Amino acid sequence: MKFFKVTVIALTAVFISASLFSQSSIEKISDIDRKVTATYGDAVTLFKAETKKDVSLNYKNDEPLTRGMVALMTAKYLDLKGSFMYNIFGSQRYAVKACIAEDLMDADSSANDLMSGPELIEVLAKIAQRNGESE
Amino acid sequence: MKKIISLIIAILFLGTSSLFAEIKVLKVKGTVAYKTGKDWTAVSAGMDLPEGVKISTGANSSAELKLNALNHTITIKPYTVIQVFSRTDSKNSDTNVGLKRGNIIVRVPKDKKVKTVFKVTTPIATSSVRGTAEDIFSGTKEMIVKVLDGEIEGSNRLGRKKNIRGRQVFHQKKGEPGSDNILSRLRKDSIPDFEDSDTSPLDNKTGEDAKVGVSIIWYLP
Repeated sequence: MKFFKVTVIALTAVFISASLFSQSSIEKISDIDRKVTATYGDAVTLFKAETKKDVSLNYKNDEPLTRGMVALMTAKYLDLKGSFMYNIFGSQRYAVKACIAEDLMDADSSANDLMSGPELIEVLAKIAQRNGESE
Repeated sequence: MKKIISLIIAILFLGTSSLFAEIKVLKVKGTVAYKTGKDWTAVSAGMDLPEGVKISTGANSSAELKLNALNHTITIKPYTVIQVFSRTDSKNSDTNVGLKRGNIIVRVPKDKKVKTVFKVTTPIATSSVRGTAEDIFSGTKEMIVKVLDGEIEGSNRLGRKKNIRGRQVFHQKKGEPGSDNILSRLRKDSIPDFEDSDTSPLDNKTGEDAKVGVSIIWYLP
């Protein structure tokens, strides 16, 4: 009887924590989705959830997010070889060009553009789509 | 008397139940939630969701929904937010999916007996799906439609059309002018000659007399 009670309590706790995790994770994405300018910390959070890899760069979490930062994180994660110049210099500018070549960013993108929350999520969605296609 | 009352209740139940949405969750992977009031609640497989439900997926997450007995399904990919309105009875099936952002795959098998309207609306454009399978992506500045199965008919505001099939891709940029050729970014075939195209609206046709796998895409001003 005691075992039964413990099992029920444990299962309930697992269910509630799973539900809360789901809620907080979705709410986090919704919060980012509402931002006119996302932060570097937002990108780290989403990349960590998506990639399970450390693609962090040397910036403070509250710094405004630029397209160059996201391009560099993306190129690092996907190991993009699309741009010859990126392979040589590894700079944000050429990382953006590599992302454009892979259809992950708009052709009119530049490394210093500030990124909004929806734009950041869109890049992550495209990475997820690309990963899904290669599976 | 009891029999008559039971019969009336049964008729009322059967009559009204067919008007309700039948949004059933078939599969869930990762973090998927639906909105109830202001809060998000976890979605699990086997769950029935209400008409007008708003669903969101997180990283490495997906869900598959079955909308009715006609096997209309939606696969929701990661980082997606959709809202689903779906009603089906024995003669009509009317579904409108609002794709706020992200990526979905819709499968709408053809059924000759049921008049089917299945629309996917994004902030950029609307795609009407029938008898086909499509992969639809909605971003901040573009909508991308990939044909997975069947055939799509793309149409611009002038009624000019082009059939798209065989894993071709259709792009529509936000704010792009409704040029003479909305399909100018079509990746494979050359641009068609529209001179003799039939401009009658396909939406008025039933599943029976519409072409197999027809979809209409038009630019929203």
